[in-house]
Amino acid sequence: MNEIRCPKCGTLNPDNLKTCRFCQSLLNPPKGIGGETTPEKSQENPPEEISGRLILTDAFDQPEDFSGNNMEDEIPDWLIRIRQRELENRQSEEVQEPVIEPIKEEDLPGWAAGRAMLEPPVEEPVEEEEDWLTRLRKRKGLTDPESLEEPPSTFSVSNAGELSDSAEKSEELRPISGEHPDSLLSRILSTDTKPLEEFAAGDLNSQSADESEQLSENHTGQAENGEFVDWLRSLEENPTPKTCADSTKESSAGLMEEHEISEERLRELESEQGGPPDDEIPGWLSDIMAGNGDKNTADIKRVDVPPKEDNTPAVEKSGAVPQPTADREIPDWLKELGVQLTPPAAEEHGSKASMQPGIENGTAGQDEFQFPIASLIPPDFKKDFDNGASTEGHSNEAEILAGSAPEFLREDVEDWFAQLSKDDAADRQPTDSSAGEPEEATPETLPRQDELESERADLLEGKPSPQEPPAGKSEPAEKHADKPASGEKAAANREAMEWFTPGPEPFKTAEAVTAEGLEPATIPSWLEAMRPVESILGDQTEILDDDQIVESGPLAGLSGILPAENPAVNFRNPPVYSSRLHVSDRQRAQANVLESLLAGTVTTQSVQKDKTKLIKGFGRLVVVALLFLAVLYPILFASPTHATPGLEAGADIQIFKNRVDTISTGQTVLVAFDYEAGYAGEMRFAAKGLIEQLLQKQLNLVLLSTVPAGPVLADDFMRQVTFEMAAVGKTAGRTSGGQVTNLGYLPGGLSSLHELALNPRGAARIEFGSRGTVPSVWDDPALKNIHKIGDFSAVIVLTDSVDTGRAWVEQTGQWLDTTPLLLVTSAQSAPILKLYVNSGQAAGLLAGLKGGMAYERLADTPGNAAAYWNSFRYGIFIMISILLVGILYGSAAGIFSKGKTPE
Amino acid sequence: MQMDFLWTLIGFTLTLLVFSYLFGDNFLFRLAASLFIGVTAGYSVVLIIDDVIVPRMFVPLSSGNLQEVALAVVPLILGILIFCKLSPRISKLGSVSMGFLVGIGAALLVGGVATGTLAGQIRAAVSGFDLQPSMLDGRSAAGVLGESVVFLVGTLSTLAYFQFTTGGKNAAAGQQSAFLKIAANIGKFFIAVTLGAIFAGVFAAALTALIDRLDFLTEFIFEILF
Repeated sequence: MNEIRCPKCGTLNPDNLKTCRFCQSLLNPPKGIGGETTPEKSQENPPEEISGRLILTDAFDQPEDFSGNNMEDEIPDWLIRIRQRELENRQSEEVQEPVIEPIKEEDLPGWAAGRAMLEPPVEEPVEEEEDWLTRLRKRKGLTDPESLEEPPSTFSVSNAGELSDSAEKSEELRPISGEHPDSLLSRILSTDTKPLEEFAAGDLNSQSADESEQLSENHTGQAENGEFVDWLRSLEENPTPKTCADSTKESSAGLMEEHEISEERLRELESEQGGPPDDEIPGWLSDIMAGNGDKNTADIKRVDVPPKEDNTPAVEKSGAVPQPTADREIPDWLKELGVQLTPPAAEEHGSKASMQPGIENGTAGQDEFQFPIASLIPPDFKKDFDNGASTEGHSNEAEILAGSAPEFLREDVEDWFAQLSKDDAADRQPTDSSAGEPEEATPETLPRQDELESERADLLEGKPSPQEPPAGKSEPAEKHADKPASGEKAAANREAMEWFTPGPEPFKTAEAVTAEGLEPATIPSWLEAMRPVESILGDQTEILDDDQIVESGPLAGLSGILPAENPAVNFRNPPVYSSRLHVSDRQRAQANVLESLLAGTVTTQSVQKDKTKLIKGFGRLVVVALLFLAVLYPILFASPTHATPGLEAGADIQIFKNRVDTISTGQTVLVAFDYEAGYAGEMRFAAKGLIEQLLQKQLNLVLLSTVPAGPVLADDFMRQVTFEMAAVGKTAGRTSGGQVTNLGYLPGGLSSLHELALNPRGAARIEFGSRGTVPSVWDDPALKNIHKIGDFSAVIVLTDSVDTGRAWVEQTGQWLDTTPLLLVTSAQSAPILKLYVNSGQAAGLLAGLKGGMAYERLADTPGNAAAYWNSFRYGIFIMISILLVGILYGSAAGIFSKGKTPE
Repeated sequence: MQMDFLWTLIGFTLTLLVFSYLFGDNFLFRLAASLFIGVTAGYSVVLIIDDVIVPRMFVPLSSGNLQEVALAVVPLILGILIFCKLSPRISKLGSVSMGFLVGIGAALLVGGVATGTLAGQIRAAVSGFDLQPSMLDGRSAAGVLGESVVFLVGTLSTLAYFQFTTGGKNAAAGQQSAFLKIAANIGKFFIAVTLGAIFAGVFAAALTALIDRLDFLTEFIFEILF
């Protein structure tokens, strides 16, 4: 029954189907591209860069989309020619046996041409295959199908201890590239006298389970039915790069020769082992068992090989949907790229050099199913793969295989690979063992484990292996074909690993690393918590998942095309980082302690705050009460006649009084009220006696101020003094013949003072409150002779500020001549202004209540100095006492707090 | 009499409001403080308008006297230019007035400090050692001399305390000489005494103000009661 290959998925379908049973696409697309392609055009060579690749892929089996005329203009000519030729090839495949035409060297791109020269051409017409096998059967007496009914395909890998020897012998049986089957057969017969069944069984046994199963089936059922040609045809139709199957096949052939494992012996072994339990049967095996029926199941159960070896041929034979190799063995990254690989069992011939042309070289050879994978493989991975596969040895491979194999297979697999490793090591010896008798693998001839490890380390570091020829010194392809070197055997083993291992993982799994004895890397917990793994690995699948067929554009109908970046598709919400914080028990305990401390501190503070507030409020009231009592008692109960200790007038007050006494009656005195309202009470006590004396002497007083509030305070001061003098029966001001003139506010600060010193008439033009409507005060007889500040009889400054007093001294001092400058100040500014009195720049100073009361007593002016002075004394006493108590309390508290600190 | 009593009553009430601060910050105290600030500001504005702007600028401008008008125009222009400082774009125009004021103020300040304070205090520090005037006043020469020495040492040590630069051998190390350090420490003592005196003066001034207010309250109460 003829089969038609699906132009999209490459699946073989019966010719009576119109659509692919796998992908449901049309199996017979319209012929021609646009229906107008001429045969002449199809004969033309495509562009160099494209032809070498496109004829090897199924991706260019164009679907019906290209029949549309609207796309014709957009498709380049070379692509049309390529498609046309593919269609023609497909049509020819349906009628006759597929003939794989070798790629002409001139058709290959430059980078692939040289490589293609190293690869021997594959020339295996199906007819010759039939003849070869037929003759082989006849010569070996195997034409009776019954003799092939039960091939010794159940060779157990537990016997792999002798695999190295068998592999050596298998080298002799390896079909040389380009060798005619007849010559190969004759060579086999000349070098081996073992029955062909053993040879075939060894071949099959070294392949995957399904492969051997298929071959056994071919030997039995298919051979019986005369379908042996179909089996070969199926193999021919599914040529794939030669992989591990070849090398192990050859090795197993020799192995079977050595030990001559008979069918009975194998059955005995099987019965002894009892076969794997059902629960240990892997999924792939159970699937096959379920799909193939009892007969296949029985056959499969007899196959005792690693599960990863393969199963595709069995699936194909059983009529199941042919998917498997690509889905089960192709690594994920390769599967995502849309590469379709055929089962390895289909590879029957070819030399080592042509095993992986598509993978290693990217040139694809003549196999139309080979894909230029090398162009898709990351260079780093390829390097790692080559180095690792060729240097890690079989021990690691066996470990990996054992790790992925079922439990009942691990031991055998490990032994088998251990023997492979030994065999490989023996091949590295500079002997011609491949041509002569195979040497027995002894511990002496095998490399030590540490040597293998060192070699592996060297190769991982990029150092060339001593067994491998240096780059650029590769031998010709013929030489390789005639005499497979140890490197080729290592490559065969490496390829075998490709089928044994789950996939070409560039990195070892954690189990593999642990099996090697390497301690896995550990990440600190805090770093593990901070590592944003999810955010980094989040969209890998989205980027690489492109198993779609292009529907438009020049690449329409192609699959496996890397998608262009589509922000709309790839858009995703920003990663949400985990807010979970890994907290150890110790950290949690410390956090709890800190939390309790904070809670306790807050609670304590609130209580202490309340207590402190009460204490402070109570203390404040106590202080106020004491002060009020100390101040009010003399005022309320003391009489003016009471003694005033400490109020004796000093020399400075005496000097001050002497200066005032020198002022004659009727003369004009300038009095500056330069203090703020807050100090009005103190200044009233300090200056009241002086002003009363000036009024009693009937002097003309000119009032002014450099602060805005001064004129008002001056009026109030004069009003109170006049009132008090009237109360005691004395007259003041105009009533006594004297004259008081308030010139008001003197704006401008220092400049106005300087102007006042130089030109009083220009500085203070009007009287306070007159708004300039009244005639100039300077026309008054009391001020008629005043033209500068030195014309005043005295300048008396009442100030509470050091700066104001200093400004008067600095700005008017040099213009005063003989006019005395008398300062009446607050107690707080007296210490500074006292210096100007000591330096002679000021004639006298009255400071605060004490100075005023002393002057009042000295001048014998009316007032209640005794009451105020006693209040002042008592108040000062209370304040000093409170200060001392506070100092002692603070000191005691400091001492006790130091004593409590260690606790 | 009634106005005086009213103003006295207002004064009495405001005094009690201020005393309410003894029980902590409260609305009554804030009311009195705000009232005091507001009255002071309002009074200052009225005072400047009535006693400065009107009599010193508008009256001369309206007097018809050319000389007075010319003298009044200059401050008028400078005053208007100061208002240009309110706008960033024309603030440079106000710099003329500000420069005039700052220049005049700085000149007067520096001149007054140099001639009035610095020279006067240096002379005082030296003249203390002239014993003859003091002896004429009947004071002992030793006392006057000792007082002069204390004044001189206090002045120099206080100046040394505010010496923040170094020179000579210790310049590289950034340290003052030993003599300067000693002088600075002595200066600290004099500074502490001075600050203590000022602090005592502040206490005395506050106590005097308290006496004045309590005297006012008692008088008002006695006036009401009796």
